[in-house]
Amino acid sequence: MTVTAQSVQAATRKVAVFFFTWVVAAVGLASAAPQGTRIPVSIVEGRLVVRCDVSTRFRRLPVNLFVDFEETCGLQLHNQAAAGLRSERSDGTAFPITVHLPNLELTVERREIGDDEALDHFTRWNSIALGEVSVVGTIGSKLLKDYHTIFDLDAGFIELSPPRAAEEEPLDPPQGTTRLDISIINDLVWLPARFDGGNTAAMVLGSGAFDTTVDSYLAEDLDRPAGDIGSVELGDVDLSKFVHLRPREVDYLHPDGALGVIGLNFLEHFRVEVDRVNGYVLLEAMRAPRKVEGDLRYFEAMVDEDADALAAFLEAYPDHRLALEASQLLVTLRLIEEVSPEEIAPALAWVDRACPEDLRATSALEQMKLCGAFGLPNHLIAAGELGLEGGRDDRYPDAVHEIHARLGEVHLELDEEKEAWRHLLAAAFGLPDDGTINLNLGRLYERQERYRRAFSRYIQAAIRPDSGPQGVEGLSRVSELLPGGERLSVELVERMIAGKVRNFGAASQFEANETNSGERVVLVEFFTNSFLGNGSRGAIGGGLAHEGLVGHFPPENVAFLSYHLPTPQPDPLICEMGEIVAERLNIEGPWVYAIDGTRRATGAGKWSDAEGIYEGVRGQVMQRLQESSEYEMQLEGRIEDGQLQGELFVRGPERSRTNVQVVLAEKHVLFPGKSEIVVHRMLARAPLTGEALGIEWDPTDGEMRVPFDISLASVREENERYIDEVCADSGAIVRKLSMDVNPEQACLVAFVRSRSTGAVLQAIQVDPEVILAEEIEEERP
Amino acid sequence: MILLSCSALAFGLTAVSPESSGPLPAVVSADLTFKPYKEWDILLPNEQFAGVAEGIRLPHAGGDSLPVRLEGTVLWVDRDGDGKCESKVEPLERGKTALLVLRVPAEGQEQDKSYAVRLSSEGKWTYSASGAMVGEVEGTRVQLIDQNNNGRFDDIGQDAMIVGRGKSASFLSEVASIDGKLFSISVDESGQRIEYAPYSGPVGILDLGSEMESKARMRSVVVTSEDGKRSFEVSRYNEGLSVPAGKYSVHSGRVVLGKSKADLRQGRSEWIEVQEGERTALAWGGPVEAEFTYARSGGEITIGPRDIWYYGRSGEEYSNFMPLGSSPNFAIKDKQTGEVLVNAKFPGNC
Repeated sequence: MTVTAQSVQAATRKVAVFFFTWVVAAVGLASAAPQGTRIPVSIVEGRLVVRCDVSTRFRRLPVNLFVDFEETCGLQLHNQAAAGLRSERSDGTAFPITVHLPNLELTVERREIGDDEALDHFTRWNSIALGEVSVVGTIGSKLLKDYHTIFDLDAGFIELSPPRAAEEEPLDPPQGTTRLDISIINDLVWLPARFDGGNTAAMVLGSGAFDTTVDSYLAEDLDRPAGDIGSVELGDVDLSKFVHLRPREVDYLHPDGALGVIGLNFLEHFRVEVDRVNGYVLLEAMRAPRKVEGDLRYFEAMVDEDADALAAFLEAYPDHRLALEASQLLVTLRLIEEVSPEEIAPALAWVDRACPEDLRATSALEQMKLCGAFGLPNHLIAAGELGLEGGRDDRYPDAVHEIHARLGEVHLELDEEKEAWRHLLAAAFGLPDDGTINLNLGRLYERQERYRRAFSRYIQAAIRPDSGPQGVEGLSRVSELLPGGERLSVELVERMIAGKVRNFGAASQFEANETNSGERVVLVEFFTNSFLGNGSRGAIGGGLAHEGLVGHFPPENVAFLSYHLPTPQPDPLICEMGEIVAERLNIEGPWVYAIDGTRRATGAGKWSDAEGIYEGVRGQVMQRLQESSEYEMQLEGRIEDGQLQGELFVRGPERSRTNVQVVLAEKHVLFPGKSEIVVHRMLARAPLTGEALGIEWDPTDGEMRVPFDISLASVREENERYIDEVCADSGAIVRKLSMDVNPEQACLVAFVRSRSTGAVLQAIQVDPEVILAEEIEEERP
Repeated sequence: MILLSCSALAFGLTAVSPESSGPLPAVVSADLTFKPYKEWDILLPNEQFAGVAEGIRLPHAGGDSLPVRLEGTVLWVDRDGDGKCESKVEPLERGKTALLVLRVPAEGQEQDKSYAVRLSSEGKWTYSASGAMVGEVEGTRVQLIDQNNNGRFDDIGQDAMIVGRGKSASFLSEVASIDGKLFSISVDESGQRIEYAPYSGPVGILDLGSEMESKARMRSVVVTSEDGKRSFEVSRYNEGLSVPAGKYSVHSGRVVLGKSKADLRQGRSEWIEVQEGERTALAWGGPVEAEFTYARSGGEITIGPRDIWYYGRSGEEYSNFMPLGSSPNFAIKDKQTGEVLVNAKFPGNC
């Protein structure tokens, strides 16, 4: 939907809406007739989780969902799950989603968006407890409000049943239960509470967190910032006998004051029956009061941010459920204190001890990252070494290789070559295609003057987006140092990376004959960018097709130019001419082929789309080849001592609003970007007429000569200037790689283009004569 | 540590209270130290990310900024001002940031100074401050944040500050409310020292609590004075807050209900004039009015999520509703019969 206020038929309308309707708005519900059912639930890492299926009319998926009684949502769902269910079409149409619980189905008209990152992290850390089924979302109060709800967590169930009939007279609560009159605001259930010797407030009944919380501001006002505010009475139940309250900001509003949120640690002790129709909650104690020792001590240390108190807590309660949280906080505080590597070691050891046995390496990676963020390499090494000890048993096998990789890199920075080599080699064993690992091994071997090994590693690095530019630079340095080495050339790199990167070769070569072509040379202009997408989709699809097209059509029939545009991120192959031509031809972005200026084909897609893109462009070229041209062109050039000179000759009919252009291109240019296209073909470098769109076709007796004379150094300077300008405007950074025009790769493309339509009327592509330095030397008397 | 100072008012405190008369109150100073934040959960009135192309701005003994270098998709940062980019930051997923703690030699000081940034690679590499100068004023915790990312902490009306243990910041203000009392304050460039003295100008009460209608909680409400030099975060003051007399506007804020949230900004709301000795209450919040535009093309009507605006009672504007997916219902009715022809909602990701 793209309407703006400026639309011709746009009109403004006002509607009165209830305040924050949108914040709390319910998804449209269409629940099936409620059937009472006991639903098995489990508490995983402090969250209440239910195993169920979700479905649309297209698909059904087994999932885990959080049950958050205090969350003002219907069904929040991870984007990937929503995509898997095909619950939305691109035009915005939503399809109902059904949550299949045992004997109960809940249907929502549409999902709400979940916190994907948090859901992914939770699944990663708790995959075993979750039965290797992802948590993909949350069921909230908008769904649960229509049910009589019983939390029976002591038995491992929640129970949902149809709403009860309204009671004419309030019934006496069953013996052994406490009845609390509730208030319902925003579909949330609030329990009346008395605290601090008689003050009253309300607590939200929640199930979205383990700890029962108290508003941190209130706790601070009571001079009890750690949350130990004394007794909190819910009827005759003193909540403080069951749990220590955790101080936290309470993001809810109640007219009597929001005291806090009931958590799972309280619900574990009680059977809690919520009757919204009759406005009460019944609490039945299922366990004797028993507060977990140590909670308060941790909350005190946490609030005070007292590292020593945290360490003491961990000493006293090494197996406490909060030990991991406490030890992670301890590491952070110690890093802030800038303690020595020896002093950080105990804190790191606590984290290692507190995390699950099969996540020690995964956990160590997080600590290494934190130490790295503080710029403390020796601390990072200490964290990594701990992770390696438990690495073999880690749930995620790559974690240990990633630790080796990071350790190797840091040791290399510290000039500890032996250690660096040991770790990098171990990392490469597990992750042989990783660019950074290979790059660092290349650097290490280069330092040790083991150039052949370095070259081999740099090749691996050069084809990965994270290490490509440095890999190419490494290759450039090392290739000439190899015994019997040759200067780095595109051909050499292409040879070396063959089979390691995706490529696309045409099955056959175009053979011109009288029926399929005439005098016309078609110009194929390809607009792309090295950072569009990744190695799977984006520029890769168009780039591979380009490789196939250049290989298929000989230059006698088809001339090629590729322009790198500065979006989504400028790369060093951009030139100003590309941007201007794209604007002139109304090219939407770096994903377009223009065939003879006026025909279009898609220039991006999945890598597997390459053949389709190739065929699409090829088909249009074939049609165009059969159209005649009124223009004849001759083009010649010579590069000598870094200077390109030459002349274009054009003969054709006089026609207004027509331009002539000559472009310097490079046949192959190395630059590994995110698209994982490493070798870029027929890259436009500079307009040799001095004008991005060419100069006026101004023939004398039907003929026109366009001489050109330009130094290759000036081409680089101009392109650098443009990159600097783009970077200044956009705040982007470009690593200036492959900026020099290699004379041996130089190519000249000329064409005549209608300024009115953008149509290319004739084109030509030739290689200039190149006089190499040694030949110049020989020619000298 | 708190130091008593009877010296002339440093950092221009005299300029802060032109209304004051009689003997100048004693100026007290307090030291602040830098604290990096691993998880950034502070609500800023005007959070901004700066591009790294010119480096990370941080005045130090070796220059005004720290250089960065891009290698492939990886950013390298000079974290200590030695000219060598030694700290590596991998590209990040959308919406994620990476903490980097910087330590640079401080001009004229033996000890290095610390600073921290959150780096983002969304679109291009950018950064935002990820720490605060922390200290105590009159026994109350105070945090100063380099909100405009220039490596300084003394930009009144541009940087940010938090008084108390909360997470919601106002702009750095010439006058701060500390434990219910007003103080004129001044900060040095490095943020290592704050000087303060009781505010002695005319005072009134700004009441944004008593006539606020909402089912949700105000997590943050930042007001600023007409000249931008005074700013207060008033979300916790339901009974009103003493502020220097003058004109104020609601600048920004956040409304929360559990994990749901929405941002608020001035929108069309008018200036609020606080008179000396008087209480000024603002009737704001609900009911909210929504305004929208639509376009008709033949038999098709188009409404975009960006073509709808929500305004509160005083004209304040609400936006950025999260989580997404809770759409208003659009009903298209027959003009004559009132019959609903079509009901429409935005898709779940709008």
